[in-house]
Amino acid sequence: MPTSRQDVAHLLRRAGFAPLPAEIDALTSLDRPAVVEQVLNTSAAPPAPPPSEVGNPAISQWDQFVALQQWWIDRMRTSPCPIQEKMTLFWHGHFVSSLDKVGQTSMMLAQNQKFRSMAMGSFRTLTQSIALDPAMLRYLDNADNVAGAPNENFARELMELFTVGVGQYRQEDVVASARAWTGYGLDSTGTAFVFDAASHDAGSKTFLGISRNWDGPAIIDELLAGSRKSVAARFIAGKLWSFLAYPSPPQVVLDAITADFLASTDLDITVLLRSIFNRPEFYSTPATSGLVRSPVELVVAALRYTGISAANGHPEWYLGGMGQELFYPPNVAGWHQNSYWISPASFWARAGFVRNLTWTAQAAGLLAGTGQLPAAAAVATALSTFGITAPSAETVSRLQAWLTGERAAQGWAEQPNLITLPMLTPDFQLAQ
Amino acid sequence: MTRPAPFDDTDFASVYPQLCRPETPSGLTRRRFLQAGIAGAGAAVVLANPWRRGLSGLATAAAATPLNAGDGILVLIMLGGGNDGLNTVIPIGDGAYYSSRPTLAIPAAQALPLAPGWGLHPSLVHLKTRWDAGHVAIVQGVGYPNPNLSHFDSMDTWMRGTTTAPAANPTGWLGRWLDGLTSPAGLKAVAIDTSCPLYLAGATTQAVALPTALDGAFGADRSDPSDGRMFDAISLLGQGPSGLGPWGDALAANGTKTMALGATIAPEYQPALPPGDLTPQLVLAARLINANLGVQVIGTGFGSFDTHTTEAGFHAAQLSELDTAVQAFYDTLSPAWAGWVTVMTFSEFGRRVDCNDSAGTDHGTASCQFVIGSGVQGGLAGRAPSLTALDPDGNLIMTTDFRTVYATVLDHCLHANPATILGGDFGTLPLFTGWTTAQPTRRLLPARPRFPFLPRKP
Repeated sequence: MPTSRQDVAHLLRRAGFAPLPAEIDALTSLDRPAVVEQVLNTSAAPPAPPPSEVGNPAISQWDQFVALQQWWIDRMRTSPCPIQEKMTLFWHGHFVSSLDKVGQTSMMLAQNQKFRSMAMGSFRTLTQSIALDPAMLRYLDNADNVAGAPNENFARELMELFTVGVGQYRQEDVVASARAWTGYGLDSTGTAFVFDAASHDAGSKTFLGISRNWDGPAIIDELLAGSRKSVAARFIAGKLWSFLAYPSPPQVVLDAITADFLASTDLDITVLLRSIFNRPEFYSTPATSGLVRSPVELVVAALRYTGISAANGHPEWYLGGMGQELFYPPNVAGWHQNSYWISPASFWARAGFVRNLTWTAQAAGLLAGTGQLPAAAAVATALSTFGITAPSAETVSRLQAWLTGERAAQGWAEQPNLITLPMLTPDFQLAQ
Repeated sequence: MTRPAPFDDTDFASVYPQLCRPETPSGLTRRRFLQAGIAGAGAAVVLANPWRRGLSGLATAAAATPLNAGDGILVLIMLGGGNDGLNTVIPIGDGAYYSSRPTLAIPAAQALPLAPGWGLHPSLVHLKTRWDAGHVAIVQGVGYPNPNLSHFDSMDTWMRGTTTAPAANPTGWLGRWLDGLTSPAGLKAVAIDTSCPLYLAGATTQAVALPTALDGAFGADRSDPSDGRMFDAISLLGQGPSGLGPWGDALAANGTKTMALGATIAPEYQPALPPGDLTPQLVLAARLINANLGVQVIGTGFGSFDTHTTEAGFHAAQLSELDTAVQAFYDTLSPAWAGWVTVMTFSEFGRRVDCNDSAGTDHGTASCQFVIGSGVQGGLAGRAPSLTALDPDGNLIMTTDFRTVYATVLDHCLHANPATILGGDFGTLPLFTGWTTAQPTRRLLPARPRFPFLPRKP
């Protein structure tokens, strides 16, 4: 049975960023599970050669940072397998490190590549890898965590934010885990992982009620393959559902997707994604109207629909003002959703970006022919150009009234403002 | 704001974004929103006579509810991440301080002398001048009962202003003050940030979030008729139900609100705000006060103060920013308003008494608060906790409940009933001498520099 255009569009929007009409049409003949498999298939993902600026000592850290952001945004914009980039973004907001503290773009890039290559595999493998990632070792201070002088920062967040959530452990467990993680640090360059046995506390520790000589990776195994596996599966399933569908899934949905995730081999993220995308609730009204586009998602959509590259659209000028600067999460808890993106302050930043993009798009001829169309057709063309597949009646009538008024006044700005306005509608600001 | 289970929790650095709300939370009914917020005032004007009232209807709306003689203005500075109280207000006369912090103690000779046995961090030079003038009170040992060392839980407690378990839709202490106002129209409370922190969010109304940069603020300059028609289209999108559900409604209403707000506040962004983290926030705060837009509470803040490693230099820089910012605030503030204003800092907790082996300090409990203003009873207030009689984690035992400080400013600055807002009687502290009684003359609104809205026209 074919899948409706609306459902395909919704899935592509959430699993990626901003589907083009042809991408939607190519999948509608398939049944839903087959569409989901197409979305999950990342075999066509192109390699991700790093931006040459990053790590080049002749280029300033600031320019490296700009290049790094533009490089990633362009991957989000152009990848034929956008789910890989969407999940990379998810992990960036989950296993948070920030350039603010890490200090080197090359370390953030290396971590980003790690997220990308492991984005849809085993959650345990990913967690083990990120625990030893140099940027993470620096960001959460485990590089300073040595026997006799434990630093609890990483040990606490490993449980509170990365795996099981608050309330699933006690302070004693944080202390024990911090001791287990002593010695997992950085080499003398400060940029590569090294285990220093002399700095490792090899004594007996009691973690989650079990006393033995825990080491760091064994702590993760206990959390993700031992006694806390089901708690962790539920924690991650809930967070991923919220990221892709809508915040705070109902119990029945959370139970079901957690069960699928738990039944997979070593907490396989692809299995969890498949479970989420095949749930009927994923296509329900609470889901389709349930997420505000995050600034990164909005920027990628705007660039994609206008056909403008990051280098020409300069999203990095505006993302901070919108509240979501890539490689600069605000704190270890990462970014939040919906309400977090709605304020006059963030609106101004969004509008600034959109307006800047407008002049570039206009110069390239976007919507150039709409001046010859009746107002209703011109508005329909504009909304469809920006991927608004089901605009609200309110939006359509307001834009038509605006265009009629602009034409009656013989204003100069029909074409540019017809580019600006759709991107500032609630329709476009929703991931809807 | 709800705290969605199970993952939405944090424990590090500034927890601010998590304790923030949208401008238009979906939990508010549209009617309440229109009654409560600035969009209410703006929307009424838009419907009647869109954009034809000079500075827009908002200034009019705000001016219709000017501050009353004796009303105070409260400016809050959040020091996110847990400010080290012991290295801010330093017990230079206590040997236990020096023995606990061999790598981090500030020598008595470097501290700025406050009172016998006490010194101020050397970065706080301007604050010291203000202290010498008798305009700074320092409340010591402030905390909350049964402290929890989590950033989130601590800041959540401080922002809610209660130690009871969070409700499904918790409110902040100043949000409840806003809720209780009979006519909270206009810009009664402002959060200088991209969203509204919980302490300024109530059940039915909340502070308006303003950025520190309006870069070409969309909607602020209507001199071009085509621009004006575009802004009107956005404004009108939020006049009715969006047909897109509660988030669509919130986004549409935010557009309406933003269009109304831009014209009102754009002049306050000229000339450009100074660089810095807290400094531009406080300069904007002072300008908003000078403009007499009806603002009574302004929230600002910066961080991080989470000084786990190599604290000394970092902490000194952060306190220097605090010092610079407060000075810039008073340099900007009109003397006519200065007597009305109280500035208060807060942080979720202090730091451990012992320094750690990374030349930093771990999460602690009680800390100090600065209360600044010309009506303040300058000096040390409260009681400094013992550095040797500690709790089992090696942390200070608080001597002043944070709600006592809140009650004091609610009572004195905002003429509110603290017991109603805080859910109990926590007493007050003698932090104020009184007010400058003369009511400031409302600033006339002169011709202002035009805001440079810069569309690149073809």
